[in-house]
Amino acid sequence: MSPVRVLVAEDNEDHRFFAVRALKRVEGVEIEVEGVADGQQTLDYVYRRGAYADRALPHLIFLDLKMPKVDGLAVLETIKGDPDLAPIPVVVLSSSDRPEDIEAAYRNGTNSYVTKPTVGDPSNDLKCVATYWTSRQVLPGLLP
Amino acid sequence: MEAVEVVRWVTSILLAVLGLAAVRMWVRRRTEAAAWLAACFACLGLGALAGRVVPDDGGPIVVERLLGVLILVVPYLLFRFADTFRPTTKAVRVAAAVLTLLVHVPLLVIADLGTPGAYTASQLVYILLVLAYWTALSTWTVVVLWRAGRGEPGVARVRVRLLAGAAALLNMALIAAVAVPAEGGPLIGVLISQGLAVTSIGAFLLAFAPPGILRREWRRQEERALRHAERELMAETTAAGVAAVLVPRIAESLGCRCAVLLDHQGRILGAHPELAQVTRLAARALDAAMASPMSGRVVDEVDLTVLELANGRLALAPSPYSPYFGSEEIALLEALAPSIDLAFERVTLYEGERRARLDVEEAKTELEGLLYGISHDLRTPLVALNGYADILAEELGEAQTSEVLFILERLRANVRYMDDLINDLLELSRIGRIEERAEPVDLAVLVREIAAGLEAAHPQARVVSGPLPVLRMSPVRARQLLSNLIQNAMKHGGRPDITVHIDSTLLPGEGVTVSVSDDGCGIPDDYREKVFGIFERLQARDSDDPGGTGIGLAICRRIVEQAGGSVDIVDAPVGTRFDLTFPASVVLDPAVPLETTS
Repeated sequence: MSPVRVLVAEDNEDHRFFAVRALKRVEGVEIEVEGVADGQQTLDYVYRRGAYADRALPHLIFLDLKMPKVDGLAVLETIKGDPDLAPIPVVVLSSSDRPEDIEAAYRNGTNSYVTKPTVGDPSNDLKCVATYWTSRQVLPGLLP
Repeated sequence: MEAVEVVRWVTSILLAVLGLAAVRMWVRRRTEAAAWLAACFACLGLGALAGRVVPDDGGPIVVERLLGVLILVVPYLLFRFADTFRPTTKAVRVAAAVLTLLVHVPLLVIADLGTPGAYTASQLVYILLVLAYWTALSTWTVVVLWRAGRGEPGVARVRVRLLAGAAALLNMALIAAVAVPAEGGPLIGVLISQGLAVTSIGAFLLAFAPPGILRREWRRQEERALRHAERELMAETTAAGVAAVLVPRIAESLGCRCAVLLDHQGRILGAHPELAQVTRLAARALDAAMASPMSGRVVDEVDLTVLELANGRLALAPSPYSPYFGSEEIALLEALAPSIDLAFERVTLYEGERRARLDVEEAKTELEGLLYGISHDLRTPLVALNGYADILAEELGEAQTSEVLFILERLRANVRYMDDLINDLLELSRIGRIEERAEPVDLAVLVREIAAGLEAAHPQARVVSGPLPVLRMSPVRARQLLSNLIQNAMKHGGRPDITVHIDSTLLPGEGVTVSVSDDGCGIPDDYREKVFGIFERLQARDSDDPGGTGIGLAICRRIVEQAGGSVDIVDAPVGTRFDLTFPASVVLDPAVPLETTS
């Protein structure tokens, strides 16, 4: 079985580190993680443009909402609006707990909205989220 | 002198007077209508007087014929007069002129016009021609004048129809005068003809110069509309709206041909009847020199009357039917000036207020966005700090010494504290800035809920409440307020078995005071005001006192003030007591004695 490919789109390097680390520690599944630092890079990746011409489509995307160049919400709208990309599950990771932001994300088609906490055990929480979304039962038939 | 002669003399003198009045009016206001009318009555007056003076039988035939011309030309002059009101085609005018000439030339040229009762055929033809000319032109005149009144405002309509009537009467009088021979005719015939003449003179005079009383009467309907308009002005919120209400009504009321309202820069705010027709009037109004403009002053020139206003000027051009404005009209205009000024002032105020309100809304939205952005940016590194602390704990695993544990815990506690600070500051800034909907809040129910929620964290503490009122305020803020105070007592009271009492007192004037008191360690006097300050804390932060940010009480005070009340720390023998006073306006139901809860 080929590894699960996950794209982490997050401009803050610390937050990106957490997401990648959580994914790497998921048990029982081989995961390939790649990170991008802004919205434009995210789109280039999924459309296999420029430096990402040789990449394959990811099986899962962790997406931050506030990103430079192209905003996370716009990236979400593009991906979910494209019939070829829409099936890819997108998990939004955001510092914002404002109802309007949550609503906007779901309206644009996100599969899940996870807030980045300032208290508690974020490492464990992220690992649970990553485990769920990378499990074979959850990921739809994008996998070979 | 016989009675008949007297009557004839009186009529002739009256006609002469009318002639003089008409000429004087023409001299004062040189309009075309006035000119024709002056000519008409001058001829009539001259003819009538001369007719008295010149003996009937004697006298040179030239004089007799000249007198005849004077009388005969009257219908044509009246026709031209009516023509100034509703101009006909050139063809008609030419035809009338030709007809007049045809009638007058024989009078001057032909020696013998025959005697009544013995006319030759050609003389009969001539007489018929005269009759045709007379009937045609006078009927045309009367019809034109009558129809000119249609659709005109009260004063103009009455005046022009009076003219029509007067013209008709005059023609009848003249025919009667010609039909009834000078000498020996029946007295009744003379009286009728002279009576008709006098009546027509009266009608003409009334039509030209109706006294103020009559004008006011005729203008009644329009004046009522004007009063209506003044009331309607109250509702208008734009300058264009005010002008649209005002200008047509004033124009109709005073019988103007056109009217225009300008501001001081010369911009047209409103026009009647149509914009295209008033541009020339507007230009003239702007040129009209105002030595020292003063609102309410009326400048009255030929063909132009201007009412000076605080924000501009109202220019009116009289119509042919109301060729001038009398003192009545001027007084009416002057009386309107304050209402118009007021209406425009209101428009300006309203517009200013609307813009100010929009500016405030915009600023509020901008501020909220800014504050949110700042708090979001401040939180981002906190997420990282918390994450790393957590990872560190994980990585160290079994290798964590108690010192390391302590350090990690302090790290996380500080992150939590910073997070609380950011939240509380945001919260504090939101109270009052964000519209919160006020609803009925039952404080007794609220206290029960809060107490239940705090049981787990403070198992030994007790909350005792007496009857509490129902207030109209934001439920979220009410919960924040009481929760803050009760939690504060439990956290900072200094003893785990603290009791918090919540009671209410009804005040004279129907406000209420809700007291939150405890039997804890209390607040020293000199700190009482300080504790409400942001960041002021009584105790140092240490590990025993998880403590708040110090903003909690500031939030409480702002919530109470937002609801219209005030909060004070009150002397108590033991512990702390906060008195929250609310005005009667937010008290929906003062405390009704209920079972106390805990």
